[in-house]
Amino acid sequence: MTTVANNAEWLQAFKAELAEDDGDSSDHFDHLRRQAIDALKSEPLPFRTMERWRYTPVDALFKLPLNIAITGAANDIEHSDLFNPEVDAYRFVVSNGHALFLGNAADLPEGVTFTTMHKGMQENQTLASRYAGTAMRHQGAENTVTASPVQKDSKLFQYLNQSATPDGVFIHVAEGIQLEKPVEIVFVKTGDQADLLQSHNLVVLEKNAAMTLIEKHVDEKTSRSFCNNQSELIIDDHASMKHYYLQQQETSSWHRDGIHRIQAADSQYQGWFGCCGSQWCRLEMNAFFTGENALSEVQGIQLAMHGQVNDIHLDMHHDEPNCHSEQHFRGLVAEKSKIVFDGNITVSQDAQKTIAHLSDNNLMLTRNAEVDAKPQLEIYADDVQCSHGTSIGELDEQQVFYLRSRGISEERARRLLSIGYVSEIIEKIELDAFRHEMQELLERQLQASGAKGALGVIE
Amino acid sequence: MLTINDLKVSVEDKDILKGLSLQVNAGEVHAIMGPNGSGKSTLSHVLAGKDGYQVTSGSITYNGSDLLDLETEQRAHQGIFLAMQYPVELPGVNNMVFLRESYNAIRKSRGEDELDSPAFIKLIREKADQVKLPGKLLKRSVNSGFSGGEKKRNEILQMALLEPSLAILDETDSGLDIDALRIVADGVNQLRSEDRAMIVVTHYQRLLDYIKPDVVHVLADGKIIKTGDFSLARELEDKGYGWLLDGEAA
Repeated sequence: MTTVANNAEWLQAFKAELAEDDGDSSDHFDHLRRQAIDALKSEPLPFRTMERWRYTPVDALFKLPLNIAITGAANDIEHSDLFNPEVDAYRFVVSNGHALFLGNAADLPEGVTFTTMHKGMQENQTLASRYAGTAMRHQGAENTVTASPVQKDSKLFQYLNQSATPDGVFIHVAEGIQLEKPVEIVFVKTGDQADLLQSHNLVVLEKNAAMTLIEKHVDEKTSRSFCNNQSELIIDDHASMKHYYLQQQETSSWHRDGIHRIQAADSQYQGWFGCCGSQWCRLEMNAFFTGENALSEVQGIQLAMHGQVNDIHLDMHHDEPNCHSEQHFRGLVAEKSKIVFDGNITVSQDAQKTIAHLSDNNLMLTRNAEVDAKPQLEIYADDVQCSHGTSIGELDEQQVFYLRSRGISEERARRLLSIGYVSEIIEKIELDAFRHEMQELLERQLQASGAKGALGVIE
Repeated sequence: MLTINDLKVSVEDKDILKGLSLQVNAGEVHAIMGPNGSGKSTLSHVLAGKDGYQVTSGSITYNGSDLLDLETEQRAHQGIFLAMQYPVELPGVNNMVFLRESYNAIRKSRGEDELDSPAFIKLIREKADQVKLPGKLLKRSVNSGFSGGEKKRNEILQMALLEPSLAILDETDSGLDIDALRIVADGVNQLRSEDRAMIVVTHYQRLLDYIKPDVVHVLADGKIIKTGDFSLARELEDKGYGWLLDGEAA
């Protein structure tokens, strides 16, 4: 473990450590890893001249003095209070980059594999090798994307993750199995050291399989850590997944998550995202339809109130005909904070009869905040129904007056209206327990902000 | 209870109220009538504490203290209620949650215990029945997608729930059919009591037939130009405002 400071020195140290590390992974993982190490050597740092990083300040991350904890620290936390008590779920914890299934594998239905990536590589090598990396490396159809003189993206963080072969959750649900209980994964950082923590998670639903996945990202203490996660969701024909995602780390931490998803014919995916935590939180969602008649519904909220940067990049690739995607986000931003929303829908030439809609609406609670919303539709087919739109607005003072005239304080009025603004998304959350958790989190966050005057209350 | 003395109010440097005086005692129901643009809504808004109005001179005394010193929510705590002419929609704010927040905020300001959820639900169901507001509207967002009549009934529901000591109804009757008008009037009549006062601002005599105010004022060009009893409302309905305005000019 090496401690370094400033100017991406930790990145250099990380690379140096990789060179010395022989690794103990299987052929497939070793191959993935070596590829990533090679790519990492030449990949430029993300920079604002790149379209994908234009509004997302990242320089300060490379100045953090991070511990390069490639192997992760010991798993030393009491887990029970981290989980939602209202949900009867199969539970995983990923603590400081170490994954652990908290249940008994013997209790699982036949055909269901719950393990960790590191164990999976050894004990379920055939299965793990067949799927790991497939969603992440999926290329999709070639479209004539507008040629740009500047490089549009840096995949540094993806390579950083893969080059370390991090641990994570590995779930495989065999053909025709519908899991009744949800799976709940809590990602937790313990201790107050500034660590680099990574995870790589893989969830595979074979044909006609179904499951509900809940993931939650929390910190036990405040620390200037950087969590760099990667997940692959592989959803085969007629399979369906409901995905609940809550990011509520302390506002001292940094968080990046890359969620890669491939959906085969007639598959369904519904995702609810609550991105509320960390001083810097970037979610990259990259999804592909690889068969016809698939459905993807992604909804979420972004919250940035304490000088936070909250960034969502969403790429929905319609490469096959007759697929349907909905993506709808709402954001609340206040007090020197920033929301970035970059939503892209690409409809390839063959993807006729595509239905795709995207919306992103944001409420600025104070003037000294920023929203960069960039919806983008790239359509190469000629028979599609697509729409996109964004809005940025302020609270309506008539509404504030109405509530105050009923005896409700100004701060409380603004809080009720702010929560009301995002409740259109929250009310659609199917899982009661998760909806409640999200509502409570919002109440808490807004109450804390209100106390600091971030709701625009004029003193 | 309420004493308004020589009140002058302007909006964006335009004078709207030009020396209005009014005395409302506990137990009385006053109607304020007047043509469009006479300042009726301005008076209602100033009483409720809405932003955007400059009080340039005069005073408003409510139960012995200076009303203009109080914030909007403090006025509500002191028992002032304004039923709005155009109740705003609050998308995403559940009506039941809103009503409970409001009710408990006012109780709390008086040092009373907040009502818990089951007790409140029982109370609000009774009140909703009283004003014939369908129970399903309690579960929806405040006023969102409500019809005009439903919005006004929701106002009357709030009035019935909060039991204000001074209720101001700002053209609550506008756009209402005869059934809805009765509900508004019943809401007012049920609240009538010796320690409560009401100001009913209206264009038309129709509502007053059901309410029968104690005092009727005519507000024109920012001043009260005539005060009388209920028969004045009848006279206005017959003759319009013209004869009064002419008299004013002459």
